[in-house]
Amino acid sequence: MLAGARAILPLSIAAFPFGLAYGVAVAESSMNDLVGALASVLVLAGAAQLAIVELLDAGAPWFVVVGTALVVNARFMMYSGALAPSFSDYPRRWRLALAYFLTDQAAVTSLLYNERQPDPRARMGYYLGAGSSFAMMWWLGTLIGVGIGATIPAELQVGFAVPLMFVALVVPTVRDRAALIAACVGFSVTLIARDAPMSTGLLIGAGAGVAFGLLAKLRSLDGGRSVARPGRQDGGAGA
Amino acid sequence: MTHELLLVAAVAAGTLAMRASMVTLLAGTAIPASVEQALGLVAPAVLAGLVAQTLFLDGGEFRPFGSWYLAAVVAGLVAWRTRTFGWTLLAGMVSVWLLEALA
Repeated sequence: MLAGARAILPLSIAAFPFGLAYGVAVAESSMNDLVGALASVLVLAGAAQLAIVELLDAGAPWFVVVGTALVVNARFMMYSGALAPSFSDYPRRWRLALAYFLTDQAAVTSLLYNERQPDPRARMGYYLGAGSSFAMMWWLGTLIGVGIGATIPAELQVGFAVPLMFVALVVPTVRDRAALIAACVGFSVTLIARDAPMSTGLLIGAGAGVAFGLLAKLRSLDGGRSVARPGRQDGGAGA
Repeated sequence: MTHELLLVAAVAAGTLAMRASMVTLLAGTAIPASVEQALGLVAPAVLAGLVAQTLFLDGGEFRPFGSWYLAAVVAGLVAWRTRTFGWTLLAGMVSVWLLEALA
């Protein structure tokens, strides 16, 4: 568990200015400060929370706000699937509690760790350490950001912590050609689809990135054998 | 305020359901290799999309070229060379401060 907290430490430290940037956005918006701070505990997802603040401020109807936030968070379903094998040994109640801490940061660090750690107990401890320590820094940053709001000097460039965090996260995930294609397509299509209705640009971009990456992966495999045969890696357990 | 609280609660419930979806549904069952390959591509695609959205866009419009772009390039290079989160974030923040001071 300590190993996970230690590995995610640089990201947890960055979660503080990221939370601060979010808190400042709440303080400067029309959104209620208390509700904005509470969202960091209940929702625990920076990108979606920032979208909520922006849309409420723009006077969007409730179903557009909720719909957009859920679309932005739909990526958690995909992380959830990627992490599912590591959680399979634990009771359902536990898995629900573990799922709460699922963030981009906890998922990426844990998936990198899981590649070299076969033991499910170590995997869970690592994930829990990473997820909970990251969440605590996010809460702390939010509270202080909402509290001191606009008194943070602009020279500190707190807002830059948001894209910087995503740059630091995306680079280690690009380890082969297919991942590079997924990232490039995801990036470009998100920009092209920026005016898509209900802020669905990110979801469209991500979907296109995965599709093109998968295509590249299938084509790079040897000729006609490119069709995946389910279950061949786990001794047919899925058959 | 009540309206906003209900809205946040709805997002929270939906988000938890999505976070738990696969962990509770798929746990114990073997995931086909093709699905596993697709899931491996989700992180690069989504995170690159988030970079596009938070760095290049600002309120739906393109952000004017400036220190943020240059600092992000420095951070990206450091991330690629060192593969360490700490150095990446430090390089990015120091770059943006220096560039802003010079501008």
